[in-house]
Amino acid sequence: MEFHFPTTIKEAQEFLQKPSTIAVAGGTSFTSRNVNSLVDLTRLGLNYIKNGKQEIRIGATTTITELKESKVLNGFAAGILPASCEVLADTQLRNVITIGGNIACRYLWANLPPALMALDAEVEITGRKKRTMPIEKFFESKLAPGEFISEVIIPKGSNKGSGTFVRFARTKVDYPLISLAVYAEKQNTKISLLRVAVSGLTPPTRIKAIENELQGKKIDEKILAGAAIKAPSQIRVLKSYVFSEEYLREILGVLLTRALKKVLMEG
Amino acid sequence: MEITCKINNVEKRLVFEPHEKLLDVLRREGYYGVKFGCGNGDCGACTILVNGKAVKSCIMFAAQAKDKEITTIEGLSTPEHPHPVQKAFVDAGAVQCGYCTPGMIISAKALLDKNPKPTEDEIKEALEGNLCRCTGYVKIIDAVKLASQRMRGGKR
Repeated sequence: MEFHFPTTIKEAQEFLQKPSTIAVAGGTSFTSRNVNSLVDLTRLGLNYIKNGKQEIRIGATTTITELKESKVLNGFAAGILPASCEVLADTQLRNVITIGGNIACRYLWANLPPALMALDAEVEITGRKKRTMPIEKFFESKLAPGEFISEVIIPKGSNKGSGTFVRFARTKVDYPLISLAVYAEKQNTKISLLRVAVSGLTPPTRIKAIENELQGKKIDEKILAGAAIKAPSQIRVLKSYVFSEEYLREILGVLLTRALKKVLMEG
Repeated sequence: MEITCKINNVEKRLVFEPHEKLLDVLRREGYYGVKFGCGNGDCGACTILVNGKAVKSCIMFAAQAKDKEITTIEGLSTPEHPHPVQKAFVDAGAVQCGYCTPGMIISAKALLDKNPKPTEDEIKEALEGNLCRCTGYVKIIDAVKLASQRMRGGKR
């Protein structure tokens, strides 16, 4: 086995093209597989949070601690992203886990994907060419050899509304059973835009059905609760050896009702 | 493979296999204060500082330490002159079997270096990655408060 420390994107991409090669950022999720070489991505200068005019650009190896403490992100869309970081793993792990790694590992319980979906974020992938895709699409696609996540882009437009992040787990440091992120914009007494994303009991996904149902509707407790109770039946729930499907759907409905009320009716 | 890094302010050359974890390499080099607890990144007994940040060395490749500055519990003090956090742990009775203590102290030091006057919630957050199966955490939190007070020049 070999361990490489590229210092340029081009070098990194060349190393990653070789078979049985895995990228390492924080290194916390590595499981022993047949691997010939490991490529450290933390020395490529991809550690930054750039507050641009149109978008916030976050380098892939920015750590969870850095996201959590970022002034820019805490003041953005009610701090959905830092809120998802606060409840991620523990202090020592947050110091090493990176935004790119948390997405790339495609864990069911990863906190950041739903938060980023609610913010309408895009993922920039670097390979021979650069390509950008909405984060939802990342979970439906595969990386080609030589490709890696280089940046996460959050459009500034996602700062018009408000949002919240909710995590449901048995203990603070356990893997979440449900991670839920809600982002909404209001116009007078109506909902003008809604994004709801969930993971944990299902792979990271937007719940489009509830978004469509509530779009343009009056902000009313009964309407929100009605839509929230229906929403869990519109996603696929994976088998859990701890909780029944019925229980998870019920809890998701409750969390969703609370989250919608918080975002749309309070403050 | 071979890397250089600084351990407790001393330049070191480390030789190891690319798949090896930093915890194992540190212990082989004689840093026995870095404890093997779970090996999975859960318990925090292996906590060290890498460039001033608390991390778990059992869940980190030794290779990732290349050109970094590492602090283990051995680097905090000498037996004659313990670090204020170590002294506070003794005075507050925050030790029982002692296995989690080096990791706890490193996490507490990382906190106090960054935030000299933490609230109780901030102390709990800083220590959330360190498990103790004996003391029940109350005295550990007291010890960090005591250390914070003393390090800021208050008497107690």
